[in-house]
Amino acid sequence: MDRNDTRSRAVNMATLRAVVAGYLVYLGGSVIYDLLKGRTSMSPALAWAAGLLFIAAGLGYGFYIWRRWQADSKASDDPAEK
Amino acid sequence: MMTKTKALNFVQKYTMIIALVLVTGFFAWRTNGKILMPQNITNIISQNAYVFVLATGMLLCILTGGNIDLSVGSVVCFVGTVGAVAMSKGMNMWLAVLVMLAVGLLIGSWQAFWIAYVKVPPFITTLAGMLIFRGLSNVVLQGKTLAVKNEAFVKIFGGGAKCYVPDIFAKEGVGINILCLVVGIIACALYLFFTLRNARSRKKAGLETEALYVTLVKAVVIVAVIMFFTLRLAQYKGLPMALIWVVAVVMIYTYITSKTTVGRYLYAIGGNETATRLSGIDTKRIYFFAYANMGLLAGLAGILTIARLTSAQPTYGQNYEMDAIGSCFIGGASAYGGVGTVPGVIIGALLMGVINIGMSIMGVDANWQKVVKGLVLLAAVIFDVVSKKKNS
Amino acid sequence: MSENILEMRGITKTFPGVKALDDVNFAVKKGSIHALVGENGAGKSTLMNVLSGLYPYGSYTGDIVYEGEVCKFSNIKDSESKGIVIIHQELALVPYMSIGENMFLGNEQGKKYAIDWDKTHAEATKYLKIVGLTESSKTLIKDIGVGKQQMVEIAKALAKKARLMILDEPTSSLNEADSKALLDLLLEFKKQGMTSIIISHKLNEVSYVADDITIIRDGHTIETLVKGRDDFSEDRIIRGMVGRALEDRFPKRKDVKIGDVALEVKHWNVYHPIYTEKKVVDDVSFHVRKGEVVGFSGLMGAGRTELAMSIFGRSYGTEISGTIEIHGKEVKLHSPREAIDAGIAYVTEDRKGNGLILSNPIYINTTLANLKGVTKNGVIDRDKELSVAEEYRVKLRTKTPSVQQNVGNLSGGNQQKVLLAKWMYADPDILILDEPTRGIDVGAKFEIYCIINDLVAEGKSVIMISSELPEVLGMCDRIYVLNEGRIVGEFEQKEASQEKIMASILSTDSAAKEKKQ
Repeated sequence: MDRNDTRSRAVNMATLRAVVAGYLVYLGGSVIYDLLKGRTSMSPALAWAAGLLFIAAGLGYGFYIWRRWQADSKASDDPAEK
Repeated sequence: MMTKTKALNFVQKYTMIIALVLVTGFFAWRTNGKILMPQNITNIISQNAYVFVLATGMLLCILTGGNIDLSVGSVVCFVGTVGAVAMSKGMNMWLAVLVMLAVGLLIGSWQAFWIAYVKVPPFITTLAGMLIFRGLSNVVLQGKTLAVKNEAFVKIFGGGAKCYVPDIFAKEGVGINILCLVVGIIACALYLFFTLRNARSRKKAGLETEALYVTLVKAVVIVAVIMFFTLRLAQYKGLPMALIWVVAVVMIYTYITSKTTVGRYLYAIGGNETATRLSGIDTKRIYFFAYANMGLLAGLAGILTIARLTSAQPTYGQNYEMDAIGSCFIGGASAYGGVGTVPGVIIGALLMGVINIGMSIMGVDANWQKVVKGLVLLAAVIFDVVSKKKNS
Repeated sequence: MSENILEMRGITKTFPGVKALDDVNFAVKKGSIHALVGENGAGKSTLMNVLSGLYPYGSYTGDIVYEGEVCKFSNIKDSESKGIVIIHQELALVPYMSIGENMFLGNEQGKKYAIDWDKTHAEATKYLKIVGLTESSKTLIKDIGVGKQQMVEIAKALAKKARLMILDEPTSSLNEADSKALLDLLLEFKKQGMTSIIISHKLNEVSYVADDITIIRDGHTIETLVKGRDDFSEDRIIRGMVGRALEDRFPKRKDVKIGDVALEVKHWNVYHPIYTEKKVVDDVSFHVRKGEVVGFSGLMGAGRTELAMSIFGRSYGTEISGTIEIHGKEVKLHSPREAIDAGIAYVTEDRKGNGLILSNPIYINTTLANLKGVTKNGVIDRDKELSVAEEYRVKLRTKTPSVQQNVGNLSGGNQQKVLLAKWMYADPDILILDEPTRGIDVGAKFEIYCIINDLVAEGKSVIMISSELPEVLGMCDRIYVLNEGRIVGEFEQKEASQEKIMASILSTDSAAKEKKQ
């Protein structure tokens, strides 16, 4: 009944993270795009490195979100008995 | 072993402050100290005033369980439009300010009603609001720019060249803003007074207190920082008006979130909504409060925005919601809700502000700006992943 | 003597500041059911987490010898590949997925990137049959009861080709009938050569099912009792667990004068909030007197929690009808707040889900239901709040370094005390305690019983909902029996017995069935 049950929380969490992941991929892509269009003074090697790094990180994070989404929606943490 | 965990705790507790210092240091180095020049410090505050205000409001929404408000940018624009139109029709400025705040509050309450009582998901409600109020601003302004000509209004709420608190202690021949220094000293004194009082009352109640040297070091650092910045501001034109509004908002909301029942309930809902409801707390009312309040603060941000830009345009306020959400996220608010503080969020907003201004001073091209933004995000992502690993 | 499938030798595991396990030795015979008992926090779960690889090799000292070889598990996958499967106390099933999907979650059938659903459901059906479930494997988890969910967990373990199954409190949320079915299933598996380790607080079940019982106390193995050689009685086991004999499992109540009727509920009807045609509480009338402990007994799903929550400011159900009288005056309660103001407190059965904010410290949880007690003009007096929390910590003997500790870090029994503290601070006249001793150890149970006695001695009324019959019989002055939403029996303490209560449930069950035919 409440908005904040484990499931909808996991949704909130995953959405927010997915936005970040998507934005990272977009940033990486646009860095490379600008480079190819010749709209930057940045050294090509650096731009490629940064662009690819961001894309890789964004995708990796996306994968991570997916894994954690599975875990989140299934388990409530059990900190008792420690 | 012990010292290692201690150091780790320290880093964890002050991550964002350390990041802020590092980033500021980096820009100070790259811009040959330009970023610490009085004018730029003033700019960081006045150009980002709206971010501080919106991020504070957004924090209250996020506290209830990671719920966000996407409409704030559009609401800022719409409120600004209403104000600009009202003043262009010759309305008294204070009346116009009241009208703008009322419109903000009304919009906030409208959305809050759907979210709290009809249980429409906040994401949907505020996405609709984002489109509606952007559209309405466009209709009212007919796609054009409307200038704000009321000078008193601009002076009091704006961030431009004339928008400073008049120096009531000004003396001929003193090239420094005395009021500014006085305020700085008073602020330091108040800080010290409250820390001491707090420490004493805790001791009296037999509660654990932090070690004396920690308190002392903290106090020295904070006093030094306050004095440094007031001195800088005093060397320029004194206290920017925007700073007054920001400080007022920050103080009020720090108080609300940390000391009042409403604040406690916001955190409680974020922590466990069912438990909170079954403890006899009207959770709907708290949701309503968070979103109505967001509207009110969006109203204030609208006032600050049109005063700084001395006009209203249908494109104003775009991506403001992202700035606010970003500040909260960077400043340590959890998407799970129930975690985060106003000072933390302010530091997050400051960090973004410093990066923006630093890069524009350096005149770096857009790609560099993207790279820096990406790196900041990457850091946040890594932090997110690592902190979860540690917990489990 | 049959050979040991598992030996854990000299296991020591430390957490920062605590030695959770200290030189623990533990051996399990092949094809036996081995029970692991001990108070909460004794180290049972830690030991099992070491075994399953959740705490990887290197984070503890000592050896795990499984099927004759020394194992160095670095994660759960490692131990599962050897056939060691752990079933946790909290059900780890996704409610909106089907039984089949859940069963093979993380162990998907078919190729790596294309799940073979036919195979999944065929396999799932096979394992469901083994555990005696007739549900389709496409049924959603949320649509089956807790008892069946637990069976699905076991089927899931079987699907992982388990040879050593570890069950952590498998029956803590099951009623007696479902528990019995589960235990019988374990006995059946034993015949087929399966080895099981069962952790349980329910000692009658332990002595029913186990071949050996190992008792852990404060991170040490105290002793291992062997069936046929040692005494398996509950008293004997408790003596090992707490290190002394508990003279009486239920504290004596001092002469408490039972006074006037404090709460009277008449003709109470409640319908299910989603399936609105389903009547959950059916024309229930009952009363509680001042200074009286009244028990509500019945099977899971009998409507006890629903009854309690609907009285507590309509926090459950729709189309609620009936009257509530408090001290002879009729009241209408529309929200939990109104109920609290009228002097009712409902202490939930689900302390983690509905009761406590685990991520917040004790003091915040303590004052949540009565924050106005520590506020002035909407501003919280932090110092007063802390001293209130401290007062209850001392009063209820909650074990914690400080009241600033997060509730999530406490053991089950101490969490329950914080929950009680919260409601005691709200100062109600009538407390409804829903399963107040679920999942907590014997020592803490005794303390909770003492708290209940103190409450009635102060002239409060207590309604105790419990699935454990001995507890209801031992603690309550009067017992109502609920079945399928109706009151089917009422007993005074003197005349009540387990047999009578079960009989009244069963007779109405068969009567209901006859009616249907």
